[in-house]
Amino acid sequence: MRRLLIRRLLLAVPTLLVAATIAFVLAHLAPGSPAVALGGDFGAPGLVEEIARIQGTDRPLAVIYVEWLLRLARGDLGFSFRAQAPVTALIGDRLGVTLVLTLSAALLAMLLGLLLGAATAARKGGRAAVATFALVQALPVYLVAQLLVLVFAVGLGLLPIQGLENPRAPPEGLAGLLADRARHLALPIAALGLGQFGFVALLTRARLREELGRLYVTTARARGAGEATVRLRHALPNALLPLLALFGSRVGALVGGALVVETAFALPGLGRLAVTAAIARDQPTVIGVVLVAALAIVLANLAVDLLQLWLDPRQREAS
Amino acid sequence: MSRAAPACLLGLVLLLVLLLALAPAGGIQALPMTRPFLPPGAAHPFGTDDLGRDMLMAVAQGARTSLLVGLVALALASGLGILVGVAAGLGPVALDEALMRATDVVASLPTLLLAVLVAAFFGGSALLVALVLGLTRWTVIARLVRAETLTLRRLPFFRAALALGCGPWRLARRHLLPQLGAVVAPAAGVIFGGAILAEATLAFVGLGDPERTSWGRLIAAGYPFLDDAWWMWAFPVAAICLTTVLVALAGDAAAREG
Repeated sequence: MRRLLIRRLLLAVPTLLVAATIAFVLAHLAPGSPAVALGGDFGAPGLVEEIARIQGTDRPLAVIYVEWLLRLARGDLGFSFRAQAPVTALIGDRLGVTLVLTLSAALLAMLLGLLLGAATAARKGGRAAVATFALVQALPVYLVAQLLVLVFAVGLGLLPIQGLENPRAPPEGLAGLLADRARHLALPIAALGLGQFGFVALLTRARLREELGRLYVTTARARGAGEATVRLRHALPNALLPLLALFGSRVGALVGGALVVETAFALPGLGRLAVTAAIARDQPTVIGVVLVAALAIVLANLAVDLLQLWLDPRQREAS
Repeated sequence: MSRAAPACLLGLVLLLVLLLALAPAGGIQALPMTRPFLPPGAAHPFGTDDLGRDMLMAVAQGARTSLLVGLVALALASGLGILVGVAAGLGPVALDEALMRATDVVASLPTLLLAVLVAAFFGGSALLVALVLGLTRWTVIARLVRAETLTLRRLPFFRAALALGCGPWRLARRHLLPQLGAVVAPAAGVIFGGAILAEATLAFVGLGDPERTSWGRLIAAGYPFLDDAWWMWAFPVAAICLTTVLVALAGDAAAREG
């Protein structure tokens, strides 16, 4: 078990390095530069060069890269010339929103997917359910988001259309703040969760059908266990193990979905930061967000590994 | 289920041929303008958009870009995935270890975020986006192919071929590749659909290909008219859903047959 942990952690370093380097190379090979973005295409003669000198972007790429690596090793992600703030501060401000959004959506997708997948795993029929799950999975997330807004915000007037807080009536006290945030995040979480649940439901159903054909299920039924007990207590835990490994690989999709949902609901999160920073050629910010996303994926995979070891005695013995 | 795969594929091919045959030359800009916001009717089965252009023609035009993106990503991801998977499965242990660790690293990259970067930095060319997706999403196929190769190389037919003096190229081409289709097909279907959706996502956040009309760009264009002109977004969305579901079903059926 310790060996696996060490292996995973050792692999995390090159993974993060590769992700950051790809973002770095892309950002610096791109036409245009942060100096041009600030100085403008028609700036006074020498203005762009002056800005580049202040930023230090006029030096050779290799020098910038090595210096950037050294700073990265100290946990310094650089300075955003566009926002005039350190990148760590920019990311820190927005990390909370994205974390709450993605974690709640992942939880919602898992619960919904497991329940509906287990409910439709009967031996016969269920084609309609599969088609529905597959269709939900194929819908663009932003469309789901906007349809939810049309129904719950515009039509029924129950929830706010976008944003993270109500600027007209600032909430009072901690309870009021939490309630306000929950109201504003309900639709984004629902949109992101709905976009992901089809995948979980399809896999749960397929895995559960496999397990339901096994002999121990017949034994449980012969002992008089009810259908719900057989499915949820006997078959589901066994079906879940291979599913768990796939959850780790879904984090990337979740991050991508967050990017869309934050844009659709005008939420101040990391995804929107990435898009606006990329369009504005804000290189340090973009690289920082890519690094955070890669770190999230690495950590999720680590968590899945540990969870699997904890849940599955066979793996514990093997390692 | 034995006839489902050909049926799905046939349906898909027919649909695509129809759409591509309909697609007018010269892009969406060359479409004649009539009255804007006409709901679906006899003259315009899919209605008209905000500039009075026929939505059926626009969707047909969008098929070219969206399908191209899906196909390029699929071809790249399958090619790379099979190459890495077979090399890892057949090669020496050191090569296997190196390739699989590299696969782990690539699998941990935030692919959509990288596509956003490339689209923002280099202009949102649809082909470039397809390239990024193909170059980053091959890891699933590589892992599946490696596992299957490791299983196949223990089987008698493979050992017999080896004993007869078969070289590694011939082994891979004649004895492995024909068996890998069933393993690759479902994952390939997911990559194809995922690429089309990813391109649509980029179009939505404002990073679409300015030169080409894709289904994603049509949806993004219809987005401001969400409750006024449903036909502007519903038909491109239906096109994406239909294509991804059909491809997924075909891949699934192919796997069951193989």
